[in-house]
Amino acid sequence: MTYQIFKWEFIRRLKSKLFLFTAIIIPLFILGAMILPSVLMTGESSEKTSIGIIDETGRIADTYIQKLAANYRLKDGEPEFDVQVSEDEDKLRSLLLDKEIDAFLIFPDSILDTGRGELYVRSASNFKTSDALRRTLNKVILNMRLSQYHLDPAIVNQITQRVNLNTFQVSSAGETNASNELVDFFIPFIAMMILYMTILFSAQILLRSVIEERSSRMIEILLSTVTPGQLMRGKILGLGALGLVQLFFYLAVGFIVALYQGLDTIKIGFILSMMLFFILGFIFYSGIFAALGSIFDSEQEAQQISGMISLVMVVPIVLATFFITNPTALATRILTFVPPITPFLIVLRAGTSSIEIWEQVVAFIVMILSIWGVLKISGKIFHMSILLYGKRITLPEIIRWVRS
Amino acid sequence: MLQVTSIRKQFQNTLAVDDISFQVNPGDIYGFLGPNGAGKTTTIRMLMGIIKPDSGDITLEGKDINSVPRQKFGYLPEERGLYQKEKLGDVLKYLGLLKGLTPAEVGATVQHWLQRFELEAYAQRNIRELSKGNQQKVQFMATLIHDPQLIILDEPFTGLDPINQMLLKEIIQELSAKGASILFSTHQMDQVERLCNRICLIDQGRIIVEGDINDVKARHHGRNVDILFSGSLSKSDLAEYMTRVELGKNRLRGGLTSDSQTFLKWISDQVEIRSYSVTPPSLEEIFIAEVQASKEGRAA
Repeated sequence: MTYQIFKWEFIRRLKSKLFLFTAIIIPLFILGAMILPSVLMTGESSEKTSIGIIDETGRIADTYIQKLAANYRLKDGEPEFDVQVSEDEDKLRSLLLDKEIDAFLIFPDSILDTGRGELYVRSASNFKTSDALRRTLNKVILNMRLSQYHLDPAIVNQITQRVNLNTFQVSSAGETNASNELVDFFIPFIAMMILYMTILFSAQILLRSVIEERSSRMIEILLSTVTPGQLMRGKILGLGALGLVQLFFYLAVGFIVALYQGLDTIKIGFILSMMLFFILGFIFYSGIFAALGSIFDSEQEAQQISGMISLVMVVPIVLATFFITNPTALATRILTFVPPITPFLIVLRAGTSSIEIWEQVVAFIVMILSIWGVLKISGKIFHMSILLYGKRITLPEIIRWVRS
Repeated sequence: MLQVTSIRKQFQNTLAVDDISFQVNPGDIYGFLGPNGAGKTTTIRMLMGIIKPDSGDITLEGKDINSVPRQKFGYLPEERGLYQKEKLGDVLKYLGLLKGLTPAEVGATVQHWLQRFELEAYAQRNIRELSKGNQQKVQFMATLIHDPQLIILDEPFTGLDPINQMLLKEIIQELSAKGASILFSTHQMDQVERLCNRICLIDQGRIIVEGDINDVKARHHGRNVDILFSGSLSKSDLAEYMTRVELGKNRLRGGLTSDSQTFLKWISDQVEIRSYSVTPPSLEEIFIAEVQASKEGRAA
């Protein structure tokens, strides 16, 4: 019987538009959003950009044009910028408005002292062009200032070379990986967000599914055939499997992104621990949400309480920066074993490779025990309240059921 | 055979079911009657094993009801509904599988019932597109799809048009002829009168009338009199012998409260009797009279 309920819940949700959207379209969208801009940004332009220059100093324009031509070229090797020097600002302004040129620059007399040039454009959104113009101006002015003091730009360049600190991460297995701070922050954070979204999404579907059956009175027909326990188990298994499918899609996307960015930091152990703690976290929350669904008559009423529960789930996200930067702090370690947030912290800390095996084992045991407790209590509430309609169930009543 | 022995159920301060016993034999169509709040739904839920009685036994074929596989029951709840956004055929198949049909047989069975209830054309429709009456027929199919041994129908006729009521009645009689035990709870006394062979009337959690429908009627036999007479009678004299007195110029109707022989002797002394008939009361009258008597008994 449980199998039939499992199959029914799993298949009909799998085919639903909501699932298609959250499990497949959203990750594809994220994938697109991450990859597309960098593809567009790194690609060389194929069209010339026309600019105008008014050089009030009379000394900068030539060097500037040479530098632009040397550094920015189109795919076919032609210079990217087509420059015309003028003294008539009004003329350049009307050329700009007529779209004859894309931008013009003014190098004021005082530019060497103040370091301020002016760029006029039709729309300020072409980041790539303005960046090229600014960088080039910066170099040209810097070199001119250096030569004012008779310094050799090449030597200065060498002296002021940026110092890099390469970070190597030492893990207990003894291997050293070059690591990247940004990646170190984002991988655990994104992994935790994925876990949060999949658990919350599946638990919300469970809540809605219980309320739907109650408010349509389908529950009466179901309970003449199966026990409340079978119904609850079937639902939790079916919707948990649905969440795993969703998790799988998210991980696949994460994997593709990581490959694309050339990261090989995602390890199979990490993925397995994520899956394990998804299952534990989902069962924990689904117990709570199933009981909630059996108490409330409408989704709106249930939504208030489930919103409060989601707030607890948000704690690890709000404090993520602290946890990631202090993965072995006492507070982090203690919170790792607080059941409602254990799965999130485990994944977060596993992502920073700061969690020990024993901690994972203890967390696993803590989760199993609290799941046992949650299911026992919510099973009682579910059993008692599932057939009570219309009447507001009070907290003292719930406490009495749980005690009985 | 369904055997119910001395079941009781208390909810906080209310005694919902108080020492109820009855039995439903194979082939019986058993009318389970009572005013609102009498304890019918609670009793039915105990029969279904959805809630447990505080004391007493319920057995089917001698086995405790909780150890009987649910697939032997067909239950049409009073508060009933269906998934609204699913296809009719899919929901029936799901329920058939839940009720123990094998994947191999479920398709043909669903098809059979769709034909029997004249709904084949709707198999691929969403349930919410069906009319209320048709949704109710679907609930029937869900109750009967697995050929259950014990069928419990809670207010099955509400919301059905006369044609569909007739269809349903036919199907109930077929099932009874095939040997199913049918327990049938309703307020509609005319339906009970036409369908049931045995009845049980409960009020305030207790049985007040139980047995074969003809026996029950026979016990109340003689209660309704209809007399054509010549002469004169006074209403105040009649009040000693009967209630609901309808006195015309030469016709008297009413319900006897005294022994019928005593009354006949007395009235033949008063007037000349042209015709005297005693009719069995309708089930509705028995129902009202018994529930009122039970109320008065409690009040006294």
